[in-house]
Amino acid sequence: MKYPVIKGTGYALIHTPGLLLQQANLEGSSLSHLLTDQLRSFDSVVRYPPNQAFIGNLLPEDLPNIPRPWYNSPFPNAKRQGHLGEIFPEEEFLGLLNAVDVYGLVCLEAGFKQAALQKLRSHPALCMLKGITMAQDNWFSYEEIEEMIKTREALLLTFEGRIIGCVRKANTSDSTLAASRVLENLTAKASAVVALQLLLWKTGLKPQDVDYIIEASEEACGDIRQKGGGSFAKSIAEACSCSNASGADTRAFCAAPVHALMQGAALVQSGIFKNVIVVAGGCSAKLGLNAGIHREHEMPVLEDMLGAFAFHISENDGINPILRTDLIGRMNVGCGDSPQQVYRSLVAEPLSKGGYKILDIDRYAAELVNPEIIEPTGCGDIAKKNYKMIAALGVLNREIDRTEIEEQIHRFGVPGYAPNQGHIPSGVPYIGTARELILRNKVKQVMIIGKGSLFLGKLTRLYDAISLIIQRNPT
Amino acid sequence: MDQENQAQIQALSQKYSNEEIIAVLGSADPEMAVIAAETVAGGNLMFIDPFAEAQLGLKAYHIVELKEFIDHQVYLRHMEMIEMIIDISKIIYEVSTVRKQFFTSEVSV
Repeated sequence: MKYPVIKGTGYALIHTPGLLLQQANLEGSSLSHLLTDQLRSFDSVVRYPPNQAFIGNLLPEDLPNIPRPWYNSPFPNAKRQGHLGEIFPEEEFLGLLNAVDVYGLVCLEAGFKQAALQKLRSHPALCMLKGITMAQDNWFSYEEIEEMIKTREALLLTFEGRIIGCVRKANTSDSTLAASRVLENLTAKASAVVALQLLLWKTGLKPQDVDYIIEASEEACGDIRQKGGGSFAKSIAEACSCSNASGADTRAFCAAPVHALMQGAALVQSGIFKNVIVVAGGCSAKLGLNAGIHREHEMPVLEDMLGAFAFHISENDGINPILRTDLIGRMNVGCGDSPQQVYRSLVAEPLSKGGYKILDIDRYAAELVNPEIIEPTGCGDIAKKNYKMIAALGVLNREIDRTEIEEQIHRFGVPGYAPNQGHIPSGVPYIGTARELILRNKVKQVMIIGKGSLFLGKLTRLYDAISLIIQRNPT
Repeated sequence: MDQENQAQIQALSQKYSNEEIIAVLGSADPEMAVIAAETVAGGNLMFIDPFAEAQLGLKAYHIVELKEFIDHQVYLRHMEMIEMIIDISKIIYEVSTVRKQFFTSEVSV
């Protein structure tokens, strides 16, 4: 079978303390003024070991060797740029929000916009965006911005504590196009654009060679009569000058990225398209989700990062790792929600179909949310819980001895390191590392697992999970 | 605990007397099980509606405490794997401690 390959990846992390405070305000939280002291500097987020793992400067597998708390263990050789991605400061991101906004809704103060544009123009990847090369001729005075905030329900944008712009609502009476929704959607779009642009720049894939884009975030763009109409995908393609691409959005809560990878792989394997991109940006509504709890624990507010990723799925080149489209693990409607049935469907069944055993998989990557963010909430280490289930399944299948559970988890479980951004941690942060380790013959095969809380939408009580295997190219 | 779930539990507790219903917990974490047990007994400690003012007075048992009342095969089908990786004795101790704290007549199972 001519399996498709993962030909390239792009990852971005964006430090957004100002958007975090805006989110706290939107939720009516009284915390916003208290949180300011616990916000991290850009330098400290660059040095934060999980962030260095996200952009490829540190193997996720090495994170457990770094003493916790990680926020007190700055990574010695930390860099903003990594070979898998890059960490961006808020100033540049606010400039980007303006650059990808085609309706003039993001209004920046003149001096701030000039400074941000200047930085973006000197960035080797982002300078090529047409929103930067042909920046719109719109900027505002402080007075104009204050007026929009006071009288036109615009949301303020801040940088380092001062107001530098605002986001206007896109319709006077449609709550679906209120300023807060516009900001959420443009944040998802802009951060996805960063990840895709990094991928194009790093891999040399020409924008005009992209055939199709599947966007897999958890946002909904539309208007009052079609609230989740879409399409983020085509807006991202347009912003990145992928002029020959079409695309559409896939939604399945946090499981969507893995569904999108499967769909993209199917499009390539069937010959419908040669080059498919799976992309998703970050979620501003999840910024500072557990800020109150972090504050109680006297920790820095760690949910100050947006995450974004992009993957290039292409025809089998005989080199890059393949996606085993014949070994998809899925949680059917009739599967039920008992953990052992879920993991049988998700892990044991696809492995058995391929003639593999649990220990044949070198790494499992599931729900890779950074435990340092989640543990204070009482939910424990979510990634590790998945690996415990997989190890326990191995015991049931008589592949693993009960006494070896911890040892095996340590061997095959990828530790969590992604920001708490819903769809971002869902297994896929490891794809970049997996691709490199497979190309360097360090590992042979990896299972990526996405899980999604479908019940949050109140249409069903079901949750969802899907797995796929990335494997060394046999040819 | 999800607010919708809280509303459903509250509605059930209004429909039936406290002797007729118990809450059955399934959390793999002792800490989360304790929060849920305290919530159905004494109200939402986070003071979030709808339990903020509600003192439901419901006893909570973790599913591992009810093993002997469940068909063995059914229990195995759902719980055999998870029993390997959870701290059963800690969960039983923590959840029964909450019951003793809220219900003076409570004895260990």
